[in-house]
Amino acid sequence: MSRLDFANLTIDGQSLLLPQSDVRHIELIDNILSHEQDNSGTGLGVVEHDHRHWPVFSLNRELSPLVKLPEQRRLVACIAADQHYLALACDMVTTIQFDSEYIFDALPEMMRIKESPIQALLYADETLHYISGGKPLIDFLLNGEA
Amino acid sequence: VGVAAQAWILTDSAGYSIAVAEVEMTEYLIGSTVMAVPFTPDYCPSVMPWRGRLLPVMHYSLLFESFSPREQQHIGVLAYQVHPGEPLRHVALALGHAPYRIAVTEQESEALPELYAEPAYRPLVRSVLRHNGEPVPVIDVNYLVSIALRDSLLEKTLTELHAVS
Repeated sequence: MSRLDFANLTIDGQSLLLPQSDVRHIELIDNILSHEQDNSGTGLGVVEHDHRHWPVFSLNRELSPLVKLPEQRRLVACIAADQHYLALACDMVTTIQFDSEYIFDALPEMMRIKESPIQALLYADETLHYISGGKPLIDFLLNGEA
Repeated sequence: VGVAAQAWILTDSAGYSIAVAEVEMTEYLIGSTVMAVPFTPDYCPSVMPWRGRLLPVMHYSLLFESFSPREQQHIGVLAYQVHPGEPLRHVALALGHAPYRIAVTEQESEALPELYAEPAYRPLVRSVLRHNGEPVPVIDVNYLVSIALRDSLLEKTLTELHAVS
């Protein structure tokens, strides 16, 4: 039986799983710099990590972008893929492993629309987890489609 | 008139009735766990766990209307096969009440209901039977779950939006 390793980002109680290797760093929400301090305009602010400014985004539990940070966001996950990078505000970030016996389904073709960052679904412990990846999530947040 | 086959009549909570072949109706469930998935077509907005996997849950009326009841207490699980010899695949359909079986005779053939006249919908209908005085389409489940239907409806929605703006 194989085991699958994910970073588990909790957003308003919804679990969003990303490959662990796509989450490079976790920062406290208090360390977000405003755009006045940063001079860039993308996202809700930036966090500094690894000599870069990572633009911060926030989503609701339906994964729709928000224009303000909700109070319950405590952490920022720095996500990178293919030379692109950003940070996503979360309520909680953990690492999680699942045995392959769990239900792990690619999103059925009939349910896919190109804007969706969701690539697959995992049903475990009576919870539906959305599975994405660094690149589709970044494409979704920066370009509006995954 | 001889009995040629059995069919299941499925009716959703908006009152849309369809028929499927007897072998396509796999299971009827009440009170299943149905979970929403964002960024999905309106007519297929959720999934449910079933026999160790997740099934798409469809709302038939939402193929035709944007604002229909989304009752999902009753679920019919339908089987389909994309190519002969391949394993069966399954999809869940939200229903308004329990499905029931009827006998279908060869002479029961009706004209295509007007609802299905548009190109996006026409391939849904394999044939039409008359039941309780009403024409009921026998649905092609393969087309119901197809990317072709999804894309046709997305295109139709975009066209309607452009027409409004």
